[in-house]
Amino acid sequence: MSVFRRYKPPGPLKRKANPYPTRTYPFRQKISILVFAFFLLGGAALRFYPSLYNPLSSFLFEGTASFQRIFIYPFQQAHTFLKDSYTFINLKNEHAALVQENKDLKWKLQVLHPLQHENNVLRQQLNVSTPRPYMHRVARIVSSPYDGIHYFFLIAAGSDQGLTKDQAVVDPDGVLGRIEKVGHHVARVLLLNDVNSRVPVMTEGSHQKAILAGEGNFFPTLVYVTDIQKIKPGEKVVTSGVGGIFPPGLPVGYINDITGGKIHVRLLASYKNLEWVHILHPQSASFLQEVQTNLEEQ
Amino acid sequence: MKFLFLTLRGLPVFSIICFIMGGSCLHIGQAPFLPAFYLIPTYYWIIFRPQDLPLWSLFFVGLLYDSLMKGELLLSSILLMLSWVFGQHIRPFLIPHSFFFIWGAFAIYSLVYTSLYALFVGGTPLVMLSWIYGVLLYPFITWLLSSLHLRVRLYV
Repeated sequence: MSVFRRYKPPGPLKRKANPYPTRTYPFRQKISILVFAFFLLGGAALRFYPSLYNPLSSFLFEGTASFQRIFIYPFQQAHTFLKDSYTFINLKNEHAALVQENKDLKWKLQVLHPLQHENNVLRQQLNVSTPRPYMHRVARIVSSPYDGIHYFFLIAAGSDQGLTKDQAVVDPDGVLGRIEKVGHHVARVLLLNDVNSRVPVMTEGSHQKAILAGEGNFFPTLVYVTDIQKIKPGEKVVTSGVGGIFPPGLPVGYINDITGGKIHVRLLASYKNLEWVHILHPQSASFLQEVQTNLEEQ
Repeated sequence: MKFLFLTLRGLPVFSIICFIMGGSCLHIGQAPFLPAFYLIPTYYWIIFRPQDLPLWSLFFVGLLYDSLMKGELLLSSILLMLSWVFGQHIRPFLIPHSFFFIWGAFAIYSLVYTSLYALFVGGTPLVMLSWIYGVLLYPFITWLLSSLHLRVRLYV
């Protein structure tokens, strides 16, 4: 009995005939050109009719985003499992860090309470209207597709959860962007560094109003600045509230550098390792009235 | 049996969709993997098995890519369909040559595709980094696809 068998290289694979041939098979080249012309002309015609193009675009967005959500789900679960395992291993250290953070926050609250009281008193004396309070809605990030041109997130909430276009999206560090497109169960968040993003901002130290324009990189620039000479590197940039999408005073970033008349801003919010985002929406007048009456009753 | 036959014939399209879905979340720093990453299976199937990658399927693949990537609808569809039409004329010259020749042809094809895509979308030079990734990853992805190809060939 031989232990080793002589290696026989496999012969060339034979081309198998199509077991389900169609009548059109011999004319496939001509049909392909016709199909190409049909799709090209049909698509071009569709592009010039927004009434047809927009619903199709929305339908495709919803379908593709849902498909990606399903595709990403096992990877997301694996990531969550690994993260949970890491947290469990480092539970003791994490607990100690949280206790310390809690203490720091309590100290900060003690400083902030008198300031808030003072602010309220001054507002009353000067007859300054109180800004409309904003509510938060939390949504999970489904994915952040990236092709080097567009910067956006897909989030697992849509019109069924009460989201509408142009709502501000933030995280605890600062502003992330705004909602650009809304589906039934999914929405697209346009980030601040996308080329299409424009956000009205102001510098905190020099009070210069400007527009934060995304440039397709990690450093968006300030454009339409009132007086560029007054802006200094390291200055904080916050939302100005102009336009009504973003409430005033939300932290955006810091002036990173001013080179060749271009003011680059380093964003505060880190897009890495983000899992959840907060969507701001102004409380409706009826809701505020309801809260007020409830408080009065109590 | 016909269902299995159709499923196996749909594998090329499915593999391209998987590359789009998976590649959309891959990037090293600011350098993205797409669009050149999904051109690898597209090119492979156009050259080696065009009968299972019909022209109309590339139209829908392009629509899917554009709607996922926030691009102008139909741009990728047109580019992919043009790739298919050109591929039909070029493949007889490519197939008898060595792997390195086919790899070089992919480098040229993906460079033209990404340049056109970046030109129409108004992209930054970052898009061109995806071309480098695509060319570097081509042998590994092709090895995976050829394994799949041989298995499909046994049945279909």
